[in-house]
Amino acid sequence: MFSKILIANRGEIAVRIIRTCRRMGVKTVAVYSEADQNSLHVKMADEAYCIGPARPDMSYLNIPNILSVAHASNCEAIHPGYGFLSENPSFAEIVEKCGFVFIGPEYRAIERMGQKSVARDLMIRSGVPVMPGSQGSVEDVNEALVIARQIGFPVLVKATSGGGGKGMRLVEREEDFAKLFAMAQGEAESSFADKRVYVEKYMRNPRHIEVQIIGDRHGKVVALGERECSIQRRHQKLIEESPSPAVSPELRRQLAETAIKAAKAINYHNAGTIEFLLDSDGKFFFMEMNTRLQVEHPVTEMVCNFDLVELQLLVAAGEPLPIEADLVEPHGWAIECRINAEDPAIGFVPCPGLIEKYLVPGGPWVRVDSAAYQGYLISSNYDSMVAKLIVWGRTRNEALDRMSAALQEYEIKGIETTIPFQLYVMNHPDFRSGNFSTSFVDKHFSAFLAELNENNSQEKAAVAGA
Amino acid sequence: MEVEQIRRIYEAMDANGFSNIELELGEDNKIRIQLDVPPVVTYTGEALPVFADEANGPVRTQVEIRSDKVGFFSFADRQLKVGDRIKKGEILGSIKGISFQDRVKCSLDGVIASVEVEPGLIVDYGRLLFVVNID
Repeated sequence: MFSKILIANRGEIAVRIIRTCRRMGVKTVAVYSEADQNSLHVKMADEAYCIGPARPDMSYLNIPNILSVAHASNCEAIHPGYGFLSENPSFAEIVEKCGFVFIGPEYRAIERMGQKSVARDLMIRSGVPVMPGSQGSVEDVNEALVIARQIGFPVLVKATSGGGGKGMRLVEREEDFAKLFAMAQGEAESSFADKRVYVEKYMRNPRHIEVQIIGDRHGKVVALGERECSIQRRHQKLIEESPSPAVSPELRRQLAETAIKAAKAINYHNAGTIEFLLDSDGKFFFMEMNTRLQVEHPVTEMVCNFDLVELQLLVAAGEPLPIEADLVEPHGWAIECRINAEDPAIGFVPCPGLIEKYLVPGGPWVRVDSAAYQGYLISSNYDSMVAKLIVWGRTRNEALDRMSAALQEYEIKGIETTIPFQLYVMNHPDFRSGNFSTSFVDKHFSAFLAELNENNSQEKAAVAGA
Repeated sequence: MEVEQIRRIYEAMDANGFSNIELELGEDNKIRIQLDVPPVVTYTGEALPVFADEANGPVRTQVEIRSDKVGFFSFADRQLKVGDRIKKGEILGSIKGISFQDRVKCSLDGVIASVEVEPGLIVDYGRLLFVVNID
C-alpha cells in the first residue's frame, strides 16, 4: 500500500478521500487555491500546499504545480477525485510518466470513453446494447437525415466530445432537423473545439440507471449493483438511490453482466460507472461510461458494505480485489440527497455565501459527506454543493422516512439550499411508489412551488396573528 | 487628463498586476485609479511594490518577493541575509519544480529587509520569500 498520496481536488470529495486514508494509515497531501485556504480538506490533510489563485484553470487544473507538489512532498500516487482533472487523459498519462500512480483507470481507457461516439462503437462491437443511431460521427446533414429517418423521430443530435447536455439537440420533427443539426455542430465546436456529432434515437421518459464497477490489474471486474439517478434537473442529479425500485434481481444480473463485459472490452481497472437508459419495458441501452469515482458513490457503499475509496487504493497499488463474486447484491436501501447552495424557489439559481449556522442531522444510519462548517464561505468560484446526505434503511420506505426526518433536522442558515425541494420529493406519492422517470422534476416542479408559496404565506399569517 | 490616457494607464496596471495607483498631476490635482481586482499582489518571482499608506501618496519603500510556482527553493550565488545589498535584475535564488526551474529576481535596487526562506524548503504559490527595502 502507498505511504503517501496527493489529492488533486477540493471540498467534499477531498475530505472523503482523506477519511479513508487516515483509517488505512496512508498520509495525505492536499492542494488548494487561495480561495480555499480555510477549507476543511486543507486542515485535515497531513500536508497542504497552495497551488494558485481561485480560478480553477490556474489552481486545480494547474498540472505543473500539482505535479511539483507531488514530487516535492514525496507522494507515490495521485487521487483525482471527481470533476477537475479526473477525466483528463493527458493528466493521467503525465502522472504515470512522472513516476506516480494515477488512482483511476489507464489513460487510454479515459480517452476512449471520453469520446462518446468512439465509446458507442466500442460497445456495439462488444455486444453491449446501445440506442439505435449512427455508426460513429456524421458530418454531412443529408447523411445524418437518412439515419434519423431510419431510426425514426424523435432523435438526439449529440456532440462526440460532449457532456452536461452541451452540443446536444432534441429533434422532434423532420423539418427541424437541418437547423438543429447545424446548431448542435456549432455548439459542439464552441464548447469542445470539436464539431463532430452523432445521431441517436431519443427515448421519452427513460429512467437513468447506472452500474458501479471496479476492476483490478489482474483482470477481475466486479459490479457493485446499480444506482437509480432519475431525479435530476437539466442533467444534474439531485437524488440518487441504490438499489433502483425499477430493477428486479434478474434485470440486475443482466445489467451487471453487460457492465462487466463493457469494462473488460477496454481492459478497465479501478472504479468506473456505466450509465444506462432503461425504458418502461425493462430494456436498457448504454449511454456513457464515467471513468472515475462518482459523486453518488456513497449509496453503493451503504448497501454493498465496501469502502470504494479503499478499493480504489488497493487496486491502484496492484492488489487483487478482495471480492469473490462478480456481482455484489445490495443489502437494504440507501438514498442520497445532494444539498446544493441553490434556491429552488427561483429556478435553482446558485446562491453561494457564508454559512452562518450549521447543524447536521444524526442518528442511526445517517451519513453526511461534506466540507462545510459554521462560518464557512461557499465560494462562487466552484460548484455549489454543500453536502451529501445519505441514509440507509432495511426497506425503501424506511430509508425514505429516515431521509425525510434527516432533511428536516438539517439546519443551514445564511444561504438557500435545495432541502425544501428534496423534502417535497421524499413525501411525494409518485416518488414513494417508485414509479417515476427523468421527467419527474419537470412534471412536479410547479406543484412544489405552489406548495412552497402556500407554506410561506401561512407562516406569515401565523406570525401576523401571534 | 484625457480619457484615453486613463484607459492606457488602466491597461498598463492590469498587465503589471497593480490594483491601484495614485498620480499627482499638480497641486490639489490628484487622480486615483483602482482596478476591480482583489487586493492581492500577483507573483512572478519579480519584485512588486508595496505602497505606503494612501495619505502619503504613492511612496514605494518596500517590495515583497513571492513565489508563483511550487517547488524546492535554493539560493543563487550567495546565501542572502538581512542587510545584503542587491542590484536590479540580480538573481536571488531559484524554485525547482518537477518540470521547470524558475529564477527569483529583484527588478529594483535595494537592501534585503528579511529572508523568509531557507535552501531545500518547499515553497508554494504566494509564499513570501524576501522583503526588500528599495532605494
